[in-house]
Amino acid sequence: MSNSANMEARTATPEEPKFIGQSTPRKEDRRFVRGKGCFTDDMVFPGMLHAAFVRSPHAHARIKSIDAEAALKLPGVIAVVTGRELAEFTTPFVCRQEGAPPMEMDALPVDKVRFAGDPVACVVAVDRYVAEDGVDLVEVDWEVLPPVLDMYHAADAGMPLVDEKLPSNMHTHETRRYGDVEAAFAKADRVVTAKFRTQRLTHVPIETRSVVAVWDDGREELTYYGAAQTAHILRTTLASRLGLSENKVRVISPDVGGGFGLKLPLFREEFTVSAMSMRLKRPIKWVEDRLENLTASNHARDDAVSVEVAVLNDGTILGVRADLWADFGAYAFYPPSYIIHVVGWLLLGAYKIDHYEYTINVAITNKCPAGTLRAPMAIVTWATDGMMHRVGEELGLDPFEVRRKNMIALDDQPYQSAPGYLYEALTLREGFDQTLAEFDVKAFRDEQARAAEKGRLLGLGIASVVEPTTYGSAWYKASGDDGSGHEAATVKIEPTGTINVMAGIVATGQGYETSVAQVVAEALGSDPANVDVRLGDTHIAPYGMGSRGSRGAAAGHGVAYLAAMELREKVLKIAAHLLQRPAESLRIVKDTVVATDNPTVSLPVSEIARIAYNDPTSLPEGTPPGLEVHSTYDPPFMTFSNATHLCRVEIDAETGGVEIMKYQVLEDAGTLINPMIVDGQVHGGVALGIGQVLLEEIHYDEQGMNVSATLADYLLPTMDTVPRIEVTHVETRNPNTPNGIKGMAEGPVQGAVASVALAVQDALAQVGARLDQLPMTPSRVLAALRAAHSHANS
Amino acid sequence: MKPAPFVYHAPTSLEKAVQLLDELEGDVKITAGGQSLLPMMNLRIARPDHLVDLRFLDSLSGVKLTDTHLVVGATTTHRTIETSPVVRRVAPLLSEMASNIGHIPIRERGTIGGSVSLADPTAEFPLASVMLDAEMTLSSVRGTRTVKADQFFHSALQTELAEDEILTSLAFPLADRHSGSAFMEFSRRKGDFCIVGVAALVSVRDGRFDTARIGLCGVSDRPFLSKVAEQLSGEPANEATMTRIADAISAEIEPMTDGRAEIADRRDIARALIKRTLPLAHERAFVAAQGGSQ
Amino acid sequence: MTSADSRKVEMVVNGETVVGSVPDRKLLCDFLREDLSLTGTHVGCEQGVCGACTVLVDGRPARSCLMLAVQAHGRTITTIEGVSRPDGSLHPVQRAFHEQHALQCGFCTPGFVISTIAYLDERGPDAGPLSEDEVREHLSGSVCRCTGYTNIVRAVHQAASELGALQAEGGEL
Repeated sequence: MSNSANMEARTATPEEPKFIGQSTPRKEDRRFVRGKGCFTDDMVFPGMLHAAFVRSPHAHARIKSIDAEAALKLPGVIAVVTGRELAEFTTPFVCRQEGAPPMEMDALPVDKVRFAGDPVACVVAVDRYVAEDGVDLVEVDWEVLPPVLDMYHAADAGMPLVDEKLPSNMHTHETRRYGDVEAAFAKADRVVTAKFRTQRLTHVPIETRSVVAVWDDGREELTYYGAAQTAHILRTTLASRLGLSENKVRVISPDVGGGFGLKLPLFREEFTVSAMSMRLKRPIKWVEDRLENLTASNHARDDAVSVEVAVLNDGTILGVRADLWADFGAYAFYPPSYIIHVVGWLLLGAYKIDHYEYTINVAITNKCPAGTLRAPMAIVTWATDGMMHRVGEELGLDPFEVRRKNMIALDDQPYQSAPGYLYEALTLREGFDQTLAEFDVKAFRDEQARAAEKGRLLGLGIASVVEPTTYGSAWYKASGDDGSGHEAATVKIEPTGTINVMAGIVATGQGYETSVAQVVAEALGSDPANVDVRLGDTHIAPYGMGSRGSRGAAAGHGVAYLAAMELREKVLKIAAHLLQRPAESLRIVKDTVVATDNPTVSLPVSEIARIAYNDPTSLPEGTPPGLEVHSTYDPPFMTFSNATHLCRVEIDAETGGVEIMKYQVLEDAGTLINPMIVDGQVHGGVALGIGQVLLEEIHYDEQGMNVSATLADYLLPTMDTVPRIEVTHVETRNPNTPNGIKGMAEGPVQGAVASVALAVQDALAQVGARLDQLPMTPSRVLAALRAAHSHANS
Repeated sequence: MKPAPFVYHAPTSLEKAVQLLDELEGDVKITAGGQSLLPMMNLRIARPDHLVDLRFLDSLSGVKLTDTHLVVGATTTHRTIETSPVVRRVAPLLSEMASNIGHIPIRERGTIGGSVSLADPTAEFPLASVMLDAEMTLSSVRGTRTVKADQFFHSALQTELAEDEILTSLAFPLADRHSGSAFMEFSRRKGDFCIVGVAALVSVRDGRFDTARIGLCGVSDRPFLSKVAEQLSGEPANEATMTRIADAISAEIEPMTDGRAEIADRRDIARALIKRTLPLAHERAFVAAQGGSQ
Repeated sequence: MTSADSRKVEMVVNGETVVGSVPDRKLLCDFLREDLSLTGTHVGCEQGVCGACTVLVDGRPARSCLMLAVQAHGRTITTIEGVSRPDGSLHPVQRAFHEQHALQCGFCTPGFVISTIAYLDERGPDAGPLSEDEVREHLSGSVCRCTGYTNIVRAVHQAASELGALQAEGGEL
């Protein structure tokens, strides 16, 4: 079918209820509020065994030998398997990146461990308690090696190789240039520099990783139950590495207790458990505990940005040079350059800058491997807007005016950014202007100055977020990374008239069972209550790319809408034949086809469905029986949404504590499917960003031990640290997506990281203090204040 | 994160409990609320061979007022101490400090005896016991003895308790009715282990401090009682005095650096909290002296 | 008795007397989930920090990951499965969480619902209007990674006013 034919929403006649844009309460809630959800750990199978992992206590060490004898003697321990044994019947994961050497990862390490927490053996036992007893009894003889812990010095002479198949610990070093950067810097009145450093974080879904692998020895096939954001891609990898054909592996992602980008790849523990289920011919469960989750799942955000900005004295930005660093950790679950490249091509953000150059540096170190935490490029908005503020400060201009002067307006669009991305229908300057019109900055500055005289430090941060939402397959092709951005859905009207929808996206809390039902109900003139949405089962749902980034709305809901619209055409065609009226004169209202010119002429969709399935000879000639449509949809190269965040803080200058006094978001995600759900996404994303600025941090000590391994040390934002978040929307439609949907989910994180950090920096600037490193802990704030104090007194 | 194997014991009398402690071989741990011990056991950092649960020892639980003392049983929960009208009336500092411990579900199960026996240097109740001159009663098969709070804490997680002893109660001498107290702590989030906590207990006479005691947690390997604070006696109760004493105590303490704060941070935070608790304690003492209620 | 032996426990769970046989070291959350198939109590950290496993023990909120099953012997336990009415209709707190969109992935939700019920129950229906600060102070012991808490606070307010209204009407809670 032609997708473009149905890009625009139908004009609803008054009698047709609208579901797109309604805050429909969620269908999935009823099971969750009663504790009746079904998460992976809730599943039990006859004969099920439990796994636990022996892990490295060293950041870097050779495995000289593994002695499992004592563990195997323990009653209840069924098996102990090592990386060497797994390598005999599994293949490694190979991560490819264009222009760089591939990185391999065994099922479990064979010769060497690369970070503290690296798994080296799996104990399978009758229950988890006994499995952990077994872990205690496995003895590993280690040859401890010096660890590589500092990304800036990872490639220094004498540093051991973390991955001995690589030529260097510096995996990627690459520069991209757009425009004439040399000339821009030659013309500049001055060059302003700024630095931004974000800390190592981790995802911490409240449900940790989990899997039950069930080998069916009759059919000789594997069913993998596990929290997964991308069920189909996981199946492809799992089958190939186990040597099974893909139709002998079924992945079922049941209810998932949060993903945040963690539950994407095939992790080694889940893979080992799957392999062991095959070998032992028993179901095996493994549920990651919190210690493992914090030390050995994925980390993220260990990034640094340094910029040089060529400016004219009037605040015009001529060009930017950026040096970007990422500490990628010990293994590659993703192409190492992937995320820091996003920072690179997004760094110009909301501003018109023609001449740009960025260099990325990705180091492999003896730390937990990096993954994609919700808004993996979260440093970017802070760096962009922070850079503009530094320009304003150094030129003695109002930073907000400098930003405004260089900001992209609707009138400038379509606008192509220097790295070649097309911005359309983004209300960047409009949102900034609206925020400044509603918040009296002048009054705030007066209050801020008065407060500073009394020793109170107030700060204001405003962030202009450009959020990349939907990556089309053309983007993947251009990036050189494997993958596609298309999505698939099947919509069926069953013989009784109820509707089933299957799609390749997987829900991890986004409320897809409701919002997909809304778009399908709208297309088919039904009601969300009549639409059931089935996701995450590779035997039921069509092959899709899953849930990551902010692709769910435009790609996942877009394709379901397009499939439902095609099915609508078929329903109306059959109705036209049966009612002897032109299809154009018919509408579907409340599951009944009615003639717009004569409402007494009607036919229930259930009757059409009955005929389509049970009386197909009554269908118009040439119409195939049944009422089901399968569609795929490949979104544009890249779609964006945008937002303006405003945050006001007060710093307790005596304790270094930061309190957020006000937080508001002006979001433009295009057409909203369910505003209530979008608000929830904003709230959650902002909380994550607040956690990054004020609380969360993975710490490694000098030996490479993770010393933030419990939730008493790794501090998540709680109810008393996250304030009430106010959200308003504008809905500027994207001209190139179904219904003008843009999507959103990561932007709120970018916006919060930026606006909270900028607000703290603004407050510190009242006394001349500077801080450019996250998290902005009391200790760092006090140190910055003391430094400013002694500087002022010297 | 599942505990290593152990044998559970739930004696029904104190005699049986101390007998168990005397007889059992290996690592024996006492539990009441379990809110500190169970996490350690789940992490297998603590691996007791035997766990002796005091849950059936009813005599160890509850709050009792005598002519001279407030007696708090060791298995009395934080939440009970926080909400008890008797404690609020006669030892408001104790209930105020209780309300700063962890979160409500933790306070519902955690006990004062557990907290004091564990002797975490950042914890509230060890400091409270020192501030309020508690007498700890310790029982074993060898008999019963009492220890003053200032003798009880040896260092971080180390106390006067012998391996076969159970802390059974804390007796707090009833305070001067005209005193006022306040407690504040600074932590990253509400309910976290505090970085620094400050307790102040003062009485006033004619606009001057009469008696004054200031104690801190999180600045030493055990509860810290300021000697400098004794200088407040006779000083005018004004802002200058309080700022001066805050500066002096901030210099008096010898805090440590750890993952949460540097030495200088702890001095800064201690100074800030003293400047905030001392006026509040003073105000409450003033109200009490006027015959008002706190 | 050795550490490998099992011990008989008897307790009332969601109004029904249950008898089980558990090793001494088995955590209450695991007993509820594995032995009683009450999988609504979720395990999030096994350290008492996240609050997902919160249940009522003798009517008071407790972390079921920091309690042994043997320590629940003789006690009364309420889990999320015991909150809604037998006819399947939702408790006002559950309904408020649904109507205010106070849950996303739903994993922390049982702990939040239980903690909210315990809090509003202790506070009583006549305690007057709730302040936002009071709610945030009382429920800050549970962690949600999805919602940013804004809607949870709203849900607690809605439930509080409904429970107050129910009380005023003499309705059964």
